Amino acid sequence: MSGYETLPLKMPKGNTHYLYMKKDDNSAASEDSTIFVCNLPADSTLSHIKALCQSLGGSIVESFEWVNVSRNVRAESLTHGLSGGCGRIHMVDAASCNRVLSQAKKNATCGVKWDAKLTIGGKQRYQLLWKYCFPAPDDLQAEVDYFMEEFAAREEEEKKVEKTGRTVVDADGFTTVVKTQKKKSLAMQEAAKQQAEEMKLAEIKRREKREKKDFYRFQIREYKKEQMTDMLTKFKEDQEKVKQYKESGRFNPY
Amino acid sequence: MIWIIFKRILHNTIMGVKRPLSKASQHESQSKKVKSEAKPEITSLADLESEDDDSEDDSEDDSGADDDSDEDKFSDKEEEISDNEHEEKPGRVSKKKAKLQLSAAEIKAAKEAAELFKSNIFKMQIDELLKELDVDEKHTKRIGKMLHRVHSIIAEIPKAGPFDVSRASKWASSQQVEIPWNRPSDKTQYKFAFAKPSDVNVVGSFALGSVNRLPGKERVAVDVSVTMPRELFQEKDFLNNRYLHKRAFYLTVLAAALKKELDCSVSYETLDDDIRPVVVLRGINKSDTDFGPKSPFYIRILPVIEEDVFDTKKLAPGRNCLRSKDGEEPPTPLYNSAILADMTTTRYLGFLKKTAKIVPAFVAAWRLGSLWLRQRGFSGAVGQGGFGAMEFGMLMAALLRSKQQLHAGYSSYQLFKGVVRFLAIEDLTRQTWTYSSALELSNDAHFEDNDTRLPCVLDSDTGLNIIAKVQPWAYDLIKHESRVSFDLLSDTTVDRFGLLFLRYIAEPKLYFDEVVRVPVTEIEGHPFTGSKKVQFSSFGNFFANNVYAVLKQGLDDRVACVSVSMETGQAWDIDAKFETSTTGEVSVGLLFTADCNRTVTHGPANDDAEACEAFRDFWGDKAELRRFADGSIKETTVWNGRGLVTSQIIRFVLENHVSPSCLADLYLSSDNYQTMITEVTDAHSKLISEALVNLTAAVNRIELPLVVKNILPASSALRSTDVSPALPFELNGDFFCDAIVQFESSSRWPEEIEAMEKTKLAFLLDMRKKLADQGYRVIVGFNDKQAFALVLTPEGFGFRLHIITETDELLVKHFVKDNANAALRHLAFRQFNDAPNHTRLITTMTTRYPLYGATVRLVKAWLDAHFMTAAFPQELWELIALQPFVSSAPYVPPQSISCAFNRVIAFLARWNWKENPLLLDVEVHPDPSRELAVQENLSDVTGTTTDSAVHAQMTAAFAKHRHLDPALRVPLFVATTRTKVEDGALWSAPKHEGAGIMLSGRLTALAKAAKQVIDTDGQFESLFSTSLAPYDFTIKLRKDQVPKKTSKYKNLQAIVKGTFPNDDGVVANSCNEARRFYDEISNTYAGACLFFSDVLAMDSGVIAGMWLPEAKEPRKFRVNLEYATVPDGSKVTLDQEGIISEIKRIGGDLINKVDVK
Repeated sequence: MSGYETLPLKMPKGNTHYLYMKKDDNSAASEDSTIFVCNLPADSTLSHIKALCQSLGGSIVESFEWVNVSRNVRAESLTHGLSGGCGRIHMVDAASCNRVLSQAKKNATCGVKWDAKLTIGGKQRYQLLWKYCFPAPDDLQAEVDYFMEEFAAREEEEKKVEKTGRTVVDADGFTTVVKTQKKKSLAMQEAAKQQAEEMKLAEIKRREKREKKDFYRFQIREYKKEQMTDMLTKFKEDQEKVKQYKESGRFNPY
Repeated sequence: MIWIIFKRILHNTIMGVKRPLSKASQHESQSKKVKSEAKPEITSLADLESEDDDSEDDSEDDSGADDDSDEDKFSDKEEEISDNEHEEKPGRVSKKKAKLQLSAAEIKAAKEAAELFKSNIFKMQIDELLKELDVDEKHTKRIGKMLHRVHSIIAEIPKAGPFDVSRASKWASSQQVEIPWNRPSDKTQYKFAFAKPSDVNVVGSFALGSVNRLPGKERVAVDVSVTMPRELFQEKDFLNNRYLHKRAFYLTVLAAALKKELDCSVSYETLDDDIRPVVVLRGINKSDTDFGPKSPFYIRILPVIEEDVFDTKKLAPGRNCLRSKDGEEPPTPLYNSAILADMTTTRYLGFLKKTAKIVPAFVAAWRLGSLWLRQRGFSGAVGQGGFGAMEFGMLMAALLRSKQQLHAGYSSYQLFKGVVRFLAIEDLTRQTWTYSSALELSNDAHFEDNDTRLPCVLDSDTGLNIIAKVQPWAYDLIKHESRVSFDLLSDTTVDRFGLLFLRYIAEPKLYFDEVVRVPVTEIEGHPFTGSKKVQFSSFGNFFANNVYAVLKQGLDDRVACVSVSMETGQAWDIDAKFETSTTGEVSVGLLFTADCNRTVTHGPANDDAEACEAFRDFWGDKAELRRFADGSIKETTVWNGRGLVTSQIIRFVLENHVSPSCLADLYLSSDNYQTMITEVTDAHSKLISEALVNLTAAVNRIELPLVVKNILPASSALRSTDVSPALPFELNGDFFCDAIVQFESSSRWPEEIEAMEKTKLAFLLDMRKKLADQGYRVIVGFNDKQAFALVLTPEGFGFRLHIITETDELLVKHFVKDNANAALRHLAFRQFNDAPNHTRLITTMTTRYPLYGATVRLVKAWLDAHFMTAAFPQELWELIALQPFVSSAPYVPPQSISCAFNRVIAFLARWNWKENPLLLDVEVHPDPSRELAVQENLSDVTGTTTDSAVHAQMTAAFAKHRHLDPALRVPLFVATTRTKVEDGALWSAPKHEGAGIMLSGRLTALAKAAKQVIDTDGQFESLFSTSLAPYDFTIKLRKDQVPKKTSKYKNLQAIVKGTFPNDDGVVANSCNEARRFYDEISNTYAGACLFFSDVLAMDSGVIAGMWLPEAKEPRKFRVNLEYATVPDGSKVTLDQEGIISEIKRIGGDLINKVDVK
């Protein structure tokens, strides 16, 4: 398991689960305080992780997130991951991050306890998850209103930028001329694309229409020839098909 | 002079064109000659004797071949094709020109095949099929030798008799044989004797070369006629069984001699179940190379007489030849034609031979016809209808006697189709087809009036009705089947060859809407005596006809066809007495009409006293006089609307008109299904749909910033296909039905996913406020991705509304691109988007086919019982269940749920989804520009009028789909003519991506097992019980956590009063934890295992798991392995134990226990 510390977790039922951890090498991570964990138990939540890090040298966790699982803001404490999934543990600082990893190395053979009791399972969890889908209408309304305001403001801003962008005068006193082009909406893009395609088709059709097909003798001859070959290929195909049928024993009617 | 030269040039050019053709045909006829020489034709025993004499044989064959080459033009030309093919193969470049010419000839041939046959491929298939059906030549040779032996034995039999009855019996017992007769009284005056036969001949299909190979241990009959010398008979012997008795004694002598001389099984049999016994020889001795137990033939010895022994006029179908003691003298057509048949055997051999010589394709068409009949369960035996290969051949020969029906130059396909068409269109019970069997073939066959009301094809020379054996029920069925087949033959789009010839379609439970088995008993009040004995060949036949008559009368217009077949062909030892069997059972098959389960039967009007009397007579206490809304007063019978009316009538009729005792062992195939069909009806769905319509109206009354165009149903409960649709005010996990809100189009929807959902949320919140006044309660939800709303209606139903805008599609297209699950999300969106279309289609189908909804529900219940419903989207099952209705060939659409269900199962069991898509033509009206024959279907068979362009599109879409998905991730392809052609995989994508083949394979395996149960009349319940053996582990849920569904469907009207709890209560009661648990673990462990459960009913309380084989392999670790692992050296392996304990933790109090295998 190159690059990973394997940490055995002792589960309450006596079996052992294995965590694979390493320092997160994702460059986006601001500091070296993030641990990348693989093969997490699917029911891991922040509280499980907190308890785990507590047992690994009393390190303090800032936050935890699953990789590839969309966050549910309302039900963070109930969000489970996928089997064998990965997560990122953000520690408060680089020191605690290192501590966790070194502790993990130390415990690589004896393992640490995993507090499975922290899992909220069964009926209660599903009830809560379902309930969380229905916030109080007033709260929802407030959320919507807030978002709409913000969205409107943002749109306004964009428009402004678009407008003012055209009149920015640079250091040399020149005004950059920007082509007055509105941001095209998706619908318009789509429509334009479709129109172009239709035009193409129409053009082909028109050209075909203009051409006289049976004007020259060679055209007729060619047409007939084409028909013949068509028929012949069809005939050969049929033969091939029947041969296949025969091989598959289809003609035995019993 | 110039004129002459010109003429010559002209002549030459014509010859020039013709040359390659005539050359080829010459070549062909030569090769044919070789063939016919290689295969000696055994036409009569006289030929056999001269077999060694080569020169004679040759000359005969030559003349035959010459004859052929004139009239054989048609087949010659067609066979050229393959010849030229061979020549072309070397493909030399230098002979390019020659090749071009050849291909011109090829094209000509191909063109002709397309005209003479349906299509090239149809012709090629016929050729291959006939080759396949040929009996091995070596066997033909061997049987020839055997026939030779039989011939010499018969020729050597010494004279016996004349004896009177008692001496004849004594003589027989001295030879240790029994005479196969109902022994006449000892006072009988006439004598019995044996004398050297005047002729011994091979007759029947074998002699004419029209036999087909038979499967397995079945053997082909080789008929040998033994012509009894005329001096044994007197002029009046055709009366009162005298001829039959004399014949029986003659047969006994033959049997005794053959038994003595031959080492093979010798037994009696009645010829095709009629009244004539025959001797049957079957090979049993392994050391006998000519006629061993493996010989595909058996020999029937038929004693016959010369055609002028009796006066044929006295044996006409309308005459009585059996004077019974009770003075009645009804016509005895069966008896008469049996004697006539014996008189005309030799004549017909010559007649058919001559016809076959003049009509080159006669034998081929005959063989096609025999196979066609066989695949439909018909045979010449009376118990199986009495219309067999022989009747088909004779009818064809009779039709060839009129240019209006068939031409000598027709191809085999045209001849076959012509006969089928004749059977389909003409009613032979109203008009008789009259023809002459004279050897100077005439062209004056025509229709005459028929007043016997029996199907009649009459030979005017001999007075023989060649279809005298055909039972009335069988004639109906043949007509029905001919109509269906004619429609299949007229289908220009789909290749129907397989259905016409290659598949055995007479499986009763697939063919008929109802299968009844009636044990043979005495019929109360109708003893089998006197005139009855005269009319029917045996007690079984009498019983079957009686059952037919009463069922037909009782079910009347509720039934389209009644079939009453019986086990036939019972042989008995030659030292055993001849007895008519009074046991066994009659198998009744019924084809219902559309309105067969209406509860009231309208009888005759009050003023028709005679008819009323008859009606009351038949129905007894059931008959009652009623006044109807239109003022008429009629005799009626009223039946119970719960349960099938047809079953009630069948029981009533059999009890009252056959025997009460037969009810105990009566079998009705629909009985079992009736117990499975829940009380859910289509009406139930209508109730919910109405609530949705009301909701739409209410939404239209309120004012929203944007007008709501429509609210579209998108849930199975709204299209009659839900197994347990919601009940008013009965909240449970499946209470809310999906519906989709469509706004008028607007360009102002935000083009950003989050903003879009928030906007929708705003709309729903607005709706919530404004709908409250209309009596609706709306609970708006937001599950972090999508906005939706639960709506509670005043009628007590609930809907889950989603908003769909045209911008959504663009959003999905543009923003869900880079995600790993992009394809899946696209599919999910498209399904979501298409659900209303699908609902519309299914709703149309439920109105067009009233049984369709119930069928889907039963199919779903079956799949659910086997934990398969969740493997694919529900919509797939609904489409598959359409198959028997819209693509019914080779049957007509089912008129009973049991039949429809059986056909769905049979289809699934047979469906080779790797190679074949399921294409469903859901349109009714064929394109008016198409052929007239296609427009005017003769039968109700569906799916034969698909437009070829549409069909080609769908086939191409399938090919493309396979091309894009070579690994068969989506193995099933189901396209309808309503959906876009590329959408054949829209509803057939397996829920578990990657397990497509496995799940489809399981579907096939389950269907095969179910088919087995249906075929063998196995325990019906076992169809719906599943085995947990194949699974690796099973999760047993706690019973109290599994939602119990109340089944109070019976009285829907009574429970419409009620109230809903408050919002919290509604949410809490509609959670469906068990289903959520199933969905969650299916998703969480998708990389490790598959989960199965009865997600619709959820009453087994079991979720079964199966590890994916590929997950069980040790692998190198990588970050995106989709399952939990344990390190194992340098690799990792699946952490099964860990996963199970995780599932336990996640399931928590839902789980009772987990069993691991």
